[in-house]
Amino acid sequence: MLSRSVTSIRPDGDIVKRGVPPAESRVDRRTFLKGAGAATIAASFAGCNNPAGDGDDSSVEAGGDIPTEPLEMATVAFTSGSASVFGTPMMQSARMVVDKINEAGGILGEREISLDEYDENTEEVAQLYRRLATQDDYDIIIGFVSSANALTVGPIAEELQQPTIIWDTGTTELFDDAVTDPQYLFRTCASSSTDAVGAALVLENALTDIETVAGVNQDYAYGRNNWNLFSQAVEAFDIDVDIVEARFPPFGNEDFSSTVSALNDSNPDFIFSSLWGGDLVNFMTQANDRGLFDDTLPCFSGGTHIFRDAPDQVPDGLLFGARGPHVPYGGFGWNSLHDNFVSSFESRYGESPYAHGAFHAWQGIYAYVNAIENAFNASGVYPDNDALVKSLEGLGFDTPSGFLNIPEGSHNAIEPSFWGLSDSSGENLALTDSIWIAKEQVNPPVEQTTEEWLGNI
Amino acid sequence: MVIELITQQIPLVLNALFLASVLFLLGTGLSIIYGMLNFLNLAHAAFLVLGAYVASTVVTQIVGVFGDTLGTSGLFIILVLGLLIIVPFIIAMVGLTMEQTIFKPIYGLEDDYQLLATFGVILMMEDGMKFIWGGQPVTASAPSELLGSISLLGGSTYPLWPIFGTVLTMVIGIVLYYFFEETRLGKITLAMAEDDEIVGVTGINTRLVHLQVYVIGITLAALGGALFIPNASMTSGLALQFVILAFAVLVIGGLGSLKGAIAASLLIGFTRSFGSYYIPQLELAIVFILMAAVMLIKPTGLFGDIKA
Repeated sequence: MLSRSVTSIRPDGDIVKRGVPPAESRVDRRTFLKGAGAATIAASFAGCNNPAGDGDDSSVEAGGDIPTEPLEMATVAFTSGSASVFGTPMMQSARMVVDKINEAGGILGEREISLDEYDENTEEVAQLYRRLATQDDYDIIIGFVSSANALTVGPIAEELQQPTIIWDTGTTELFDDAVTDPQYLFRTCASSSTDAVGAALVLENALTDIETVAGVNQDYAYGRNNWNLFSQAVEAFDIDVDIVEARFPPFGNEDFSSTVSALNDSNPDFIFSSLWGGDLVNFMTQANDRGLFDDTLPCFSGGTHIFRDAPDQVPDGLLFGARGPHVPYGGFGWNSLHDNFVSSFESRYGESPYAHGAFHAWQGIYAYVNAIENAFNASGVYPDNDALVKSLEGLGFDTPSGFLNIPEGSHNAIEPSFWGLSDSSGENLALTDSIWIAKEQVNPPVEQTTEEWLGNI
Repeated sequence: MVIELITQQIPLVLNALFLASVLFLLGTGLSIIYGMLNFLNLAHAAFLVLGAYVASTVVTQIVGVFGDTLGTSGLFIILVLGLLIIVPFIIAMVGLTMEQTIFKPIYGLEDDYQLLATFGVILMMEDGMKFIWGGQPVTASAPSELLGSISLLGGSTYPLWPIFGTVLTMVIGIVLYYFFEETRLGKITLAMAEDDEIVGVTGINTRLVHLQVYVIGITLAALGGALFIPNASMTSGLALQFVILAFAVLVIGGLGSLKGAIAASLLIGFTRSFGSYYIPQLELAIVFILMAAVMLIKPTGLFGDIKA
């Protein structure tokens, strides 16, 4: 498959495994022994019901009053500007999910969700957030694609005691630096540790031919965070490669020609890149034209949206991740939730959910709905904010991308690292020859920050 | 070692020339419209973006209709004709409509008001483009793919499209120079830039000349977009990037100067290409540093007179 300096992907089978993560695994013995603890397991199993409106197990057995007025939910993502490559499919997914829940009667089969959408493309994200939390008084705010914006609103969420779910942002700084003792803030997708540390482990355990490595990441919080984590992981795992180039082109860049020339001149075997959006399309176009990928294997940690946006710019055999196992097509079978989600999205919007954000939106909304239903089912009382927070801590449930859990003691969901090779031979552009790494291998233990963890390896 | 160093510079020079070409087409239009019409159109760069979007549609349609019937050469020729004729024509029509409805009423206003008003136009145009083409990046790589690549000294591959675009822009530059220096309309235009009231009393229809200059400016920006997109992609939000670059050309080159636009485009193209290669930390700042340096040394720009 690969016609580059890398002759093949040879996963060691221990750290890096071939195939896909177990699609419907709950919590396995290994996770248990890795320190998640009994509370996590209990909470995880408690959360393993099928989500409201998306399965057969949404019946309510507990008593208590369920509020009759609709639940007010605000979602925030980029619906304009270059970042709308993620924001638009996220909003589409959110709309679809909420409609499905409401068609089944709503949360707990009784309480409908009233969904409002807000564009993240604003200079005044702090003001927007404060307005949503105070004047508009939303029950839950779910949103944010930009790392910078999540770092801005995180501390405000805690200050206002507003339950908030970050549904797409990757930066590890969110819980490592900005909000170190979260009460009301949760993230229902993996942090960039999953992508960057995962890529380093793929290098060490599946791409042993690689000798030289370069990076190209956007010059803002997310890109810098990704490269820092990747280079720290290379050092921490003592991976025998030389880093020959690290480039940080500006975000929203129309010209990558000099960047590509510099990468061509340093001639790395492997490029780690968290580029996304129009920047990724521009980079790919100009790199393809200049033969950069002829003898270099690029690894794009969150770029599968380009399969939809510019499929003709995706040569076969490039390594892609999707911020976790969030891809619609590959040479494998996912669970029924995955198949339902992909087919529903396609039939409603006429396109495939190639942007991982669409899966993240599903996870964000169902994390909240599941937490309410679990709390109600356990206590018989519709949860207030404190009970909701308790229910979210340790939550675990099946998603279209496999089992997702928020470890006890953490407010950050963890997901396996997942990679595959671009393949246009089938009906749909897909990731094939996929490999994955267990979530506990690419995330720090709950009590450590990512940096502390990497520093102690 | 020396040979390797020289071969390293070749793609950088080619990158610089292509970037300079796009900037020349963008900046010249803005410069002559401001120089001749005294209209500071912040939205000028949005016509480059619109040109790129329209080019993507034109390329897609041409490939869809002729892709299976024409050979490589035939398809390439049709695509180039589409980019050089259909795209500028469509943008000129859109531009004329906007001139009549939006720009004409603000011609007499102070620069400050023109800037504010035309900034609003950028936002309207961006939303309009997003409404039509969506928020996702659009591409039109077929012309570049058909043209292929060459091997440079040192063995690296380089696409032919940027070289083609550079040559084409040089031809356009020569035609423009001839237009301003040798044609009657060009000379009238230059005279109007000095004093359009005097030109008006000679019986020349200055409004018509205004419109012709305006259309030339808009068409040049559209050509910039049409040449740019086969080697890149277009996303909503990029218009402001091009606004900054267009004004950099205007400030560095001097208002209303064709020579200034050429010099400024080359200066920015080379500074940015080499700067972002050797000092990537300054990729964003480098154009502004250049602008500041030129303004300190020669506040009117390198060729600050309104002459060809």
